[in-house]
Amino acid sequence: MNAITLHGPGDVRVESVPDPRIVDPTDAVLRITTSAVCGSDLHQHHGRVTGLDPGIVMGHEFMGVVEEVGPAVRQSSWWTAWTTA
Amino acid sequence: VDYRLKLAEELGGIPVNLDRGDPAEQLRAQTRGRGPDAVLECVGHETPFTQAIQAVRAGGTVSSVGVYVESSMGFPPRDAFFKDLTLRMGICNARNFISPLMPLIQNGRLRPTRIITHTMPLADAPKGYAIFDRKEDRAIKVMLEP
Repeated sequence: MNAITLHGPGDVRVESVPDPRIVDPTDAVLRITTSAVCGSDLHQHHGRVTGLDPGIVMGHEFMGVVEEVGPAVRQSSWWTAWTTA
Repeated sequence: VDYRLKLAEELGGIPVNLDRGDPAEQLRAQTRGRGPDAVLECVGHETPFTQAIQAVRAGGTVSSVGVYVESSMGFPPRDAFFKDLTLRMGICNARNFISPLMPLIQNGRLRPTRIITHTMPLADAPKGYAIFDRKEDRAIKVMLEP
């Protein structure tokens, strides 16, 4: 899949990264439909957050559709509320 | 900043421009000398956190939702103490508020899309970051689509 990655201050790239998959029973895989840029993304963008791996995937303000869930995940209501059992 | 203050006014707020003087004084002037009941600190930095404590009324609440980077910062304990403040901070438990907020969006009372200024393809993400960072092209919220 394509992802926004950060390689250093001001170095934002769009790259192909491995597709996510279920690893733990409480995981879910989402197909992201939209992601927003957050003010706190700028902290990383400016290099004010240390200890990040180069190539870290950005974009924590995402929304999407649940495509796959681990065995411990159940849907608790008709729209978006997914929860771990 | 001007275009952001204008949008705040359109959304029903009374804009306070930091360029026109001390925000705490401006807010007291708007509230008959008392100060607002609650102040949200949305930056995550010592200066606005201090201003929030100075601006809020005695017995009021300062809630800090801005994301901090520094490991420590200055803090006006005397103001906070003698005002008997309630201080809250942290990441909003957004999912907890989906149930009460979604109906307000569905019936049109809340229109969060008003802050979206740009929608661009994911391939343009570096540009999206750049204009948001430099506040170019009146950017407020940049949305990226795959």
